[in-house]
Amino acid sequence: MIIKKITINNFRSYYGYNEFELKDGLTLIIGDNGDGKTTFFEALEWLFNTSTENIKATNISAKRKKELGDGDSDKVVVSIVFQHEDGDKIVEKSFEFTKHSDNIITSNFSFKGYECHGAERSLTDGKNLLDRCFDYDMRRYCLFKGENELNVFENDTALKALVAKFSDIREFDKYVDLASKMEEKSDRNYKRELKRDSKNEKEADELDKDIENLEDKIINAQKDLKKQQEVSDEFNVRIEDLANSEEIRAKYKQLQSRLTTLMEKRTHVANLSEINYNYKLLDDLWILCDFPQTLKSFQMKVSGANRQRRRMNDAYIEKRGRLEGQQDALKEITKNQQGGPELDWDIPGPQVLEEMIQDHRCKICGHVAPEGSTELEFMKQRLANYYKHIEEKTRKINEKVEETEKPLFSFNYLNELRTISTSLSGERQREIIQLRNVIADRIKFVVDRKEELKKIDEQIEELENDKKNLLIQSNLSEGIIEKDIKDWRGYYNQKQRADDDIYRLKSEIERNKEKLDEKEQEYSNLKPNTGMGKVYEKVHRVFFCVKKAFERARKDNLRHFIDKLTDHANNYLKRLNTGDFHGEVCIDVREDDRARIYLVSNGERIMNSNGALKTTMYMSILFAISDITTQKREDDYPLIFDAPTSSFGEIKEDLFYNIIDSINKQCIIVTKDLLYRDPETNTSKIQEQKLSNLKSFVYRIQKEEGFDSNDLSTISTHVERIK
Amino acid sequence: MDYLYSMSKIFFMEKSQSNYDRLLAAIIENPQLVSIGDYNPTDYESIDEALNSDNTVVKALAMFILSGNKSETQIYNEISNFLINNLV
Repeated sequence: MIIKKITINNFRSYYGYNEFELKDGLTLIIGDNGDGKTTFFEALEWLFNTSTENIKATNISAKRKKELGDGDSDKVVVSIVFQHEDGDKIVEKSFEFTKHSDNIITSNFSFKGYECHGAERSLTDGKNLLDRCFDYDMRRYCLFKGENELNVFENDTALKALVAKFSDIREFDKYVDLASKMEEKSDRNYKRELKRDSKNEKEADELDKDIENLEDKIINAQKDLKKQQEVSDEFNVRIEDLANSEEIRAKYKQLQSRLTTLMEKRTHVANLSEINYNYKLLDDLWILCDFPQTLKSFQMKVSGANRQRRRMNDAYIEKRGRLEGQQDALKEITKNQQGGPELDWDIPGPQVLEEMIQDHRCKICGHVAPEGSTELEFMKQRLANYYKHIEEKTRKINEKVEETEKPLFSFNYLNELRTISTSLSGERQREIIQLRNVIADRIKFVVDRKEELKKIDEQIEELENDKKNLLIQSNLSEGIIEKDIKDWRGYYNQKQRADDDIYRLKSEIERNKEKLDEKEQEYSNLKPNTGMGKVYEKVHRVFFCVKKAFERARKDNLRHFIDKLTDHANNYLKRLNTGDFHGEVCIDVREDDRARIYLVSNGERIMNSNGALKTTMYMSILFAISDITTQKREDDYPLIFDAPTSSFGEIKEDLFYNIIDSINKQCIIVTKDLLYRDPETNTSKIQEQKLSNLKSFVYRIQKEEGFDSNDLSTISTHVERIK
Repeated sequence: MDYLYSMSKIFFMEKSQSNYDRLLAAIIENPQLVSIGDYNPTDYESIDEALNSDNTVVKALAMFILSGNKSETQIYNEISNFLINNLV
């Protein structure tokens, strides 16, 4: 089956008629987020789903619904034209929708098929045609949304279904079961016959007990094995889940580790940048940082005070001398009163005055001054004043002399101040001057640390932003990532324990089966003595061989299929990872025929394969299944992927598309790869260079311009073949 | 090796063969069956040839493969009785 054309009419964003012509090889449908990639994929899912009609109004183009007038109708149609065996076929799924008073009524679901014979075509049932040309079992290996759906063996019945499809022997399992039941019946009949012979009875009973015992052991071990396989599977799934986010966890751990280091550094630098001023001011004497100035001022003041003291002392001595002179002069004057030298002519002395008073005559002018005259009274008054003045002056001088006899500086404060000044200068002063430098150095250091702290804070902020972005991108919470990191080792250990138990139980089952075979052999060695006993023995031997032959054929059939699938898958894995490490695909088949795929390198399982490698592994299996289908049925079917390369890097993407392009298999890939954002126009554009390397058809789907971002009815997908 | 080779043949059998033929081809070369039945597996390429065989084991095998929708008891009784009557 090769799809030649897909048409989508009024299906969600695919407004009106849209057509995709496809080629037998790679077809790329490129669109950005919201351009209709998933809608394209889901339109095909809807078409290929033959089990339900699903004519919900939500599948109708909102734009078309809005356009309809009351009572108007239109159709949603999805169809494919495909080549199959003898000619082209068409399957077309559709339903009608009508607008009634703003309500949309859906009706007339139709699933038609057409078989083309030259220019003519005959109508047939679409479901039957699709099931006939591309049966339901194979369709589940056709459509894959994202990377998580690629592992087809997630479904426990997938391997059985594949083997049933491709081994060409239908109902193999039914025959194996039937052969086993026949053998059991014949065994019971034979043993019953054998025990009729008393010679064999006892030995047969013992063998029965042994066999029963061994069978019980095997059944119990198988139960335990199944349980342990489930445990191993469960932890494997968890480990695989964790492996999917391994890259995120590694990045998170790296970020967290750097953050922890920076936080520690921050704490350290923050401590260094802090100053306990109480301690520094008092204990480290920073309070004295301005002391040299104070000391200088103090010393100057002390020195000034000393100078002042000296000046005061000198003035005191001078003053005292002067007073002593005055005292001496007064003494001399007083002494002259009793016969001292005469006063100047204009100042008659007291003796002259007394004589003039006694003589009643002025000796200066020669006038007579009789008793009671004004002149005499004047002279008397003048003499009285003289004595009064001398007395007053003497008293004052005496007082001053008395005063000057007291010490000028009765306390020794100034000397004390000089002693303090001297003690604070010298070595002590130098230490205190040095303190200023210490403080300056320390403050500079703190400023530098604060600058460093600022840089650290900027780095922390950047890392915190990186962490936030990582969490947003991975859609995981910090708690979950932390938990995953802790769980990882635990899961791994528990899986390892379960795997060890599986190995032990498998060995135990094998041993007990061998023992069981030996007991069966012993049973068969019991030779019946009766004629019918001998016949039953032969009959049982035939049934036994038939059972073993079916079991072995089934097992070989499965092994052969697995080997073939693995060979093909490894071929694709190698091609899809050209130039890169890829290991080998290994398909492990369990006792209950469930299959698990993983990668091995040198026989060792690769536990932490990256997302892209895992995706290519699952794709390789899909390509291998498709190959086997082609070989078995001389027919092919397309593989349709929606965004299968989200875990791929750019280089891997390019390589992947080039390789898929060269594989002779129809692949339709819906993707947003090969787009880049043009910073000038802020629109997504195709990377033309990369596109030119591909031989494939390429369609560009994008929203028609001029839409209203809040109105779904303005959205329609524009389809354009660009290559 | 011959046996495995025959198994690989089963896997890509002729499309014209019926499911019964393919089942027979998958089983007929089993060494234990060949030994117990003492037959030449290459003599039997179709289920019809096996059903018409004079060899009791081969014929019983064909009967088993062609048992169709019969009940288990019916199948057992038929094949068992055939073997009881014909095994030498």
